[in-house]
Amino acid sequence: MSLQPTIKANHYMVSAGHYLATEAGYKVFEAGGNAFDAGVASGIALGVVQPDLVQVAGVAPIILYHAASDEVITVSGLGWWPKATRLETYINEYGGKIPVGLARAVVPAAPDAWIKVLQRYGTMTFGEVASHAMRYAREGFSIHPLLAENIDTHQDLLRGWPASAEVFLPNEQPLQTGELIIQRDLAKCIQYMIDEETAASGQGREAALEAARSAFYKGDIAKTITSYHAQNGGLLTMEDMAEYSSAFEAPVKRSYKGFGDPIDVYTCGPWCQGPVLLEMLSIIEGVELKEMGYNSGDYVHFLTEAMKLAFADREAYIGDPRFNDVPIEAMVSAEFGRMRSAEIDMAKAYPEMPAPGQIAGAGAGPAATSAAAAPSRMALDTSYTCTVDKDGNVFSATPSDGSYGMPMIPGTGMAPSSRGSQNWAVEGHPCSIAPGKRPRLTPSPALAMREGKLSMPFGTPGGDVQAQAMLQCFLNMEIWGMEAQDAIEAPRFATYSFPNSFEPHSYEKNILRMEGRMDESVMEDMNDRGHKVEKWPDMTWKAGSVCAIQADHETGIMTGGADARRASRVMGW
Amino acid sequence: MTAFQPMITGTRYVVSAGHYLATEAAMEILEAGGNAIDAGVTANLVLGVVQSEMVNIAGVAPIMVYIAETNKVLTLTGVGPWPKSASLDRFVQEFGEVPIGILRTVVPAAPDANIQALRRWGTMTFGDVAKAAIRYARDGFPMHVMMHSYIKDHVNTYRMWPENREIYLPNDEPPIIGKPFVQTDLANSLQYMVDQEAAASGDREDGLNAARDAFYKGDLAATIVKYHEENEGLMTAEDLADFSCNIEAPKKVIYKNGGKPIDIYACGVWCQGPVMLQMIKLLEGYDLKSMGHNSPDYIHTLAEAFKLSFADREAYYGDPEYVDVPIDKLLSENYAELRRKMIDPAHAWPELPPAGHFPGITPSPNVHTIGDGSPPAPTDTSYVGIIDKDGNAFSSNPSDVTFESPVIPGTGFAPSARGSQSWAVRGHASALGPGKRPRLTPNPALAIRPGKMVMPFGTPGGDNQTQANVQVLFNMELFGMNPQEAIEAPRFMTHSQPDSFSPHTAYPGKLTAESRIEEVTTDELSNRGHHVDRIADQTWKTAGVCVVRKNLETGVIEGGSDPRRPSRAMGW
Repeated sequence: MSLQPTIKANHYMVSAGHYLATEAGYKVFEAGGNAFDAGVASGIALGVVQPDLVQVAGVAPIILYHAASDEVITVSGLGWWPKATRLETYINEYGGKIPVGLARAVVPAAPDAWIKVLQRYGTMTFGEVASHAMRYAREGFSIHPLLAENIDTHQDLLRGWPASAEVFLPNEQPLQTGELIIQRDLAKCIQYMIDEETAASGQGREAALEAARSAFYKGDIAKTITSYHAQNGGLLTMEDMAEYSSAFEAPVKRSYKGFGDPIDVYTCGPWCQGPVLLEMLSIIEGVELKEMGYNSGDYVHFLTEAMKLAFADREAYIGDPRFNDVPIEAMVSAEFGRMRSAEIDMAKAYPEMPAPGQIAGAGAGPAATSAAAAPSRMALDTSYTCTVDKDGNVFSATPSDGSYGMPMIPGTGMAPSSRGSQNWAVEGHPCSIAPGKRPRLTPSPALAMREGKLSMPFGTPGGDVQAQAMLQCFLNMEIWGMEAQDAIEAPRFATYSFPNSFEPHSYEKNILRMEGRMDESVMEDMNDRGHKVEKWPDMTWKAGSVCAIQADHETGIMTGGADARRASRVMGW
Repeated sequence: MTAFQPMITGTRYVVSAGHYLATEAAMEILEAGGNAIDAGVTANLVLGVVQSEMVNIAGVAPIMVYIAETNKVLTLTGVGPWPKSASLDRFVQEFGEVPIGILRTVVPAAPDANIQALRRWGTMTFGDVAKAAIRYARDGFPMHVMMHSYIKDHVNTYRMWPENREIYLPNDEPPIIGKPFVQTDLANSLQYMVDQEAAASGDREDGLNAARDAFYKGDLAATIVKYHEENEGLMTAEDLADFSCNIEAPKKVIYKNGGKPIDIYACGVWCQGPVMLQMIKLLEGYDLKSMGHNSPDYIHTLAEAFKLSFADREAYYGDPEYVDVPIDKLLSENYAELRRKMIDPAHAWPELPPAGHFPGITPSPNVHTIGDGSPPAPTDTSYVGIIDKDGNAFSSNPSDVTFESPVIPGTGFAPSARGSQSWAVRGHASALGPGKRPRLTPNPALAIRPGKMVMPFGTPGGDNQTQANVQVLFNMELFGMNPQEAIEAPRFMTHSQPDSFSPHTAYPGKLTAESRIEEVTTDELSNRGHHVDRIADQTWKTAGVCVVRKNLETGVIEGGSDPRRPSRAMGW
């Protein structure tokens, strides 16, 4: 029996990283919106109700299935470095670091991504979907424990930024669980976008949505952000803002035959770490996991090694595909997976991150395993939302960007995209800093589809734990036959034996963290095989917070799951 | 401990209800400006649809409210009496029990209780608050695991009547989990009440009266009565037309063991609510905190206190309009002192201990049947707790099952089968009788620390209700848990008492414990003489508590709901 009741639905469903975002999406559904309207509503709301982990002016990678055209499409909701950026500055002046603050700002992508989805696939106005987020910002909401914990942890940093302090430390003290947090400036900005849309409503829905977008990228919000940058040594200009546009792209896709009936798994492109999940699945495909036994020593060891191999290839090959020749087809291919799989020694863990797999014609980046091993600083995190509607449309998005890597810009209530933290101030690295280049984004929504049978959006926050948590949940559902809620609640583990995606890219050789509910004997077994096991509590938010929906096309029943490790919740009817 | 669900907090209003769609419906009313009573009645009605196997629109609905403006706690006696023609002699001679079927029907109290609550303390129309229930009945809702299990467990009784079978066993099987479950007749019955309200001339009160009369005097009453006439039932038009719930002051004890005194409120002895107060009063004499949470001493002491309190329930509780219940004495400090002496820290009572003695009052005869093995899940109930932006609180346990009596054709409901909680035993305090009410298990509760805290709480679970309520209350008051943690913590239940439900089976010495309770603990309890059954973890057999707790100093409202059932808290 699951620890939370399993929610099922027949008409529509939303599962999101915070229950108020779920509520926002659900209300949009109830008002007649489709999966895209509801998904965007919940996504924007996450930027308000999880302002520690998600910014309205952050990133928003999206993957969606549009039923009418039978297409899976991704939206590259990730901004690039300002034109004025120079790698040399980071190497020479910042000592190879990417400092906290304006120096890690990229162009905020989320408003563009949300509005583009609304324009192309939605049915509602920006005002209709954003009003819930606006209300939570203006009227406030009661702080949940994780937000209170994050404010407390990062209070010194936040105190240094007056606009951030005003929101998170209103009486110079960190806000506590249960207390009301009000974000007046953020509400004003969202309302300004709504007002601009309303003013343009005579020109039709699409043009009005464009007006909301322009309010952010060309209007007062852009001006406030860029003039703050100009006055405080930042690089972001009006030109950077105005030129930004997310792209509708084909997803990266792999069809797997090794997990029951053939299933297609989709992720966003190699501008994010999404394809890592596909490589992990390729390595596992064909291996008899069931014979190993669920969460047995062999199982945990094999998956851990598969994850390490995939992270080695991420480190070597993945970076903004407009700047790198990423051998993405080869990386997710069955052959490559088999080759990598054969490298796994069942008796012994790789003592560190394995070498990257050889791919003909592709040069690997410098072995960044040289990065100094440092104790893990907790990732600046993320959230997730997914929706499915009655027509079969699916929406899966991982909005992100924390507010403790970047000051809130006075008058906006936003800490615009600090995602530059996922670049390297290292010459020749696939993810080295460059003007117009994008970071290697951890947030990576996924979608699995079994034709005529199943649509399954899933995703999670958790930085480098994302692909690992998603893999485990996927297998729980597809191999072990669990419903989404049970699959999500099952105990998880995560390897840290690779350079962290977040600056300072700390690398914890051989560290394997396991939730306390896993068998002690398996932990000992892992230590015997050479892993360094650290025991987590029974359920920790550090193990990610997966949300998933299993939409069964044959029965019409949607089954949802949401992770109690954080404030996530699923709702449907 | 780590909670399995995020704890919900709000600064305006919070609701926690036994099914998440009831929570959603109540939230919508609060967001639309309704108060706790509007939202509470909304949730009560929705529960009668989405948990209609155990909550009936035409069932019982005991209600407790705290009205902030007047600083008053009031109860509504939402349980109906036996028909005037019910005869104890007949039941004793013919059946020796209260048989399953139409004969256990009492007057449905919920429609009156809900509408009275709306009229006295609410602000909305019946149409406003019935909208969500009608929608879920008419358009369906996804069949959920618990409802499916209950229907499956009671397939044989559902097959006893064509109407029950048609609704609850589509294709003669329990409904498929996740598929829409539709109750068209039930939607029509509610819609008829809404239509009658809309057609009434006059103000809101006139409209509400019209909705009420639609049930008790109009077509719904006529349909019920006609069916009873044709099927050897006892319900008459007069029984229905004469019915009205009373407004009553609650029963109260002040509990001081947590440090700062807290007032605990329960409904009167027409339900088992005061048992919880007896338990609390009795346990006030122990340093439970020092024993340690869920330690052998702790569980033993609570279990023995539960048994002692249940002994008095069995001996004395009954409809106070018919029976002289020494309730003030039962709740007194002197009496608690006396009863504490009956707890032996080393030995469990092998069965229900003797009840207390009260001059001039004859206790019920000891007549229970003895059960073997592990007690079954109770035939059950649900719960709603709410606090609104003005500080009003609503606490209610709507109930009544659809697998013990016929669904009346054309109505979609099975009128109050609560006669199951009377006894066909002469001299029993809760013996059935014309106009007499059963001894209701559902008992909403409320705790108030004046100026500091208001907390509606309650649970389904039959005889487990008061036991679960006490454990959750202590988890918060003595062990500092927040409501969500307090609810999720593992629980135990004693079953020595004759079950409130007919056939009133007792399991002497039986103590069930959720398996997160340590084995060394249950071993020690076995050594003291408890017959311990370690049962599944997180099972709905150990109730499903909902709590809403407002800190009046910070204004923060916390909501907890029980993952053991489809309950959910939500707030803003």
